[in-house]
Amino acid sequence: MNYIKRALLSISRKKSKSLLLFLIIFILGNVMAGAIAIRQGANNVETNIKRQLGAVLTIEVDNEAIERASQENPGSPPEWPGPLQPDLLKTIGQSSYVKSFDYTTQFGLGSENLQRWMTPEEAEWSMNDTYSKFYGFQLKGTEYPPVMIIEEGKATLKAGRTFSQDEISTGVGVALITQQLADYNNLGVGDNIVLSNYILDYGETDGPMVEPTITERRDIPLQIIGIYENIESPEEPNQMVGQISKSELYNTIIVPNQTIIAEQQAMNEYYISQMEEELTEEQKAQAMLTYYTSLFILNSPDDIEAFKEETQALLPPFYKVFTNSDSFSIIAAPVQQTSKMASYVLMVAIGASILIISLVVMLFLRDRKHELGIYMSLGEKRSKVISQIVIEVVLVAILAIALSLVTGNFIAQGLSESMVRDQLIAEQDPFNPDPSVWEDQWRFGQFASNMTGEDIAENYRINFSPAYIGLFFIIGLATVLISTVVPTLYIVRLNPKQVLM
Amino acid sequence: MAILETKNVTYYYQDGDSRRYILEDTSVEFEKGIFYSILGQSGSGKTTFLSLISALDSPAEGEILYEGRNIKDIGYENFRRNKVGIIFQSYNLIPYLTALENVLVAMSVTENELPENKEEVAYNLLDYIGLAKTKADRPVTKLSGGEQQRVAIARALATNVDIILADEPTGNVDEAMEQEIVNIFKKLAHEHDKCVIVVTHSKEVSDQSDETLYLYKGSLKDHE
Ligand SMILES: Nc1ncnc2c1ncn2[C@@H]1O[C@H](COP(=O)(O)OP(=O)(O)OP(=O)(O)O)[C@@H](O)[C@H]1O
Ligand SMILES: [Mg+2]
Repeated sequence: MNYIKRALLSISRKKSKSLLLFLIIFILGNVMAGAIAIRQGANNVETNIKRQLGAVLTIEVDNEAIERASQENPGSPPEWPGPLQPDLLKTIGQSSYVKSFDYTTQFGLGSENLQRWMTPEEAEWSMNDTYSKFYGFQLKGTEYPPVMIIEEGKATLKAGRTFSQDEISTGVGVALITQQLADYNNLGVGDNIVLSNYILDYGETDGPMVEPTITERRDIPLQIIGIYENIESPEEPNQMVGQISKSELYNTIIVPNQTIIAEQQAMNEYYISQMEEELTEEQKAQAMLTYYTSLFILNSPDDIEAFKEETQALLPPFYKVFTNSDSFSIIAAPVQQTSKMASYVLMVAIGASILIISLVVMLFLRDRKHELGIYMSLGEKRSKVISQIVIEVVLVAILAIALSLVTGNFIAQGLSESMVRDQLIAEQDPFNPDPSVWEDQWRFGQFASNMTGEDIAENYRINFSPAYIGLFFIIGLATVLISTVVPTLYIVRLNPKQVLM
Repeated sequence: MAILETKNVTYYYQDGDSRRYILEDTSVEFEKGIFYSILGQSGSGKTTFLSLISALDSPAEGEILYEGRNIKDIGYENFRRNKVGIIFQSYNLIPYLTALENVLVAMSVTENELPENKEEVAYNLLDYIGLAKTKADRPVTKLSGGEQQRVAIARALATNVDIILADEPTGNVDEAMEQEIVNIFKKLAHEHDKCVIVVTHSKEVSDQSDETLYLYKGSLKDHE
């Protein structure tokens, strides 16, 4: 009849008390399990989505910071920072967190013989408009021979090849075009196309709009070395926001940065020569600078924060590192809100549980003070008397916790349905999205998250993950164990003479 | 050598600012094989004295010796576990256990050498004290006062200790039962060589004991 056996007999023979303790722990356990499940669900969303998005970052001017600075000091607003130069971008790209990186400059060109891809409606309305004639093709530069969108699975190479390092470095006339543009113009790998860099004269700027006259035309012969096709997400009615328009996407031509820079320089030089007297040397130098958008892909989403911190230190003022998951936090606000609330509920529940269970166990022990005194009068070690009580409470607690693990999870699922999912979906207005969605779009292009509330709701899953089960058991049992501390002090202080004699 | 001895023991209860002395410089010796009875007026301090020699409390001054060794050095818990069996006035049994289990609890706590077949020994012991097997398996709450007292006695004996202490064990029982219990104590002292110390108000009990001590005004004497 050692203390373990006594504990078992005490539980089984004092059924009503065991049941009462069981119910109390069960009810409190449900609150804790529910809160943990909801938190876990919210955290899952974050990790799942971040994993889906990968770790894609860019460095841009931080508009908000500039705005703040000019508000703080309206007298002299800060100067708009100059573009980041390749040396710095390359240094950042050398970071051990970076898997691959690229920086891109863009330029719109026209063509005499290449037809711009158009939807039937576009064809009808704007066959001859100035824009498509002189700037109908979007040249996108790259420094990364395998081409980021192809390597990262945002596009597939349908024919031919990507660039060689040599082609990138020298900027020879080679290009990758889209399958759609190739089909539209009946082109294949090895064919040559000619794009034209027009320098236009619009005449009197405040006069009526007239067709500009061509001042100068530079032809850029390009050989098609590869044909690619963008992976397009299936169109959903509420995903019309933020999509790059089809024609813009299909008329994109990928070339080495150097090819574009040559054209930009030529144009810049022309305009500088036109305004020779009005510009200072510094202004001239500034006008010749190339603007790049950068893209960094990290090895793991877990590195994002570390990379951001490391990079921020290298950046000139008013530049900031942006992630393609930045807008996630805005769209997922209801999830975060719920997670926060669940954390509070959990903390309050733990506190309340410790208080309530301590009190109940204490009351039970006072009822049993004769029994405890008897063990001591028989010379039982206090540690064993305490062990008996702890075993009794913990055994009942394990049963109650195990059951509330299941029921609490169901409660959490029910609550989440109404608290999280409905809100996530209701708060999204497809015609008036959060500005962050647009921002993501122009910062990241094909790498933008395109997350909708529904995607997040889809990822918001409350389940019996080992993490949930483990965490709840640890928190539950720890709470119960802490709850036995005060009652244990009662045993330590119990004077058997006073209760028995 | 005396198995149990109090040496210049003083004990008092703190009563506000003043001390209420219960024992003053008391020295007595108890031998094995002898059935002692302790008499004294109500409130004279008999229970207090028992609490001291059962190591449930410690004297303010002086010492209590077991086979010449201070029980403080033996360790109070250790002393209670292995050297004394206590029978309380209110039986103090564990309510959710059966009579047998109550006896087994004591047997599991002690470190004294006991036979392997503890259950059988416990049944036999209860039977010897006068509790049949059918009653031994009942929860103690379903036994009469006299029967519960037998369980309490059996529990005190079960650990195979040398000293049995009892606080008014016949206080709540009829005369026939009282006689039975006295017979058990006599047997324990005379046949099993135990040192039996019984606090009582009953003349019948003290008359049948081998030695009677009187607690009066803070000291124990062998005459009134
Ligand atoms: N914890 C205590 N604190 C203060 N005084 C106490 C305490 N316990 C007992 N006393 C007092 O000490 C005296 C001796 O008490 P004790 O219980 O030893 O007497 P007793 O001889 O056993 O009496 P009875 O025959 O009625 O059982 C009594 O006056 C009692 O009121
Ligand atoms: Mg008394």
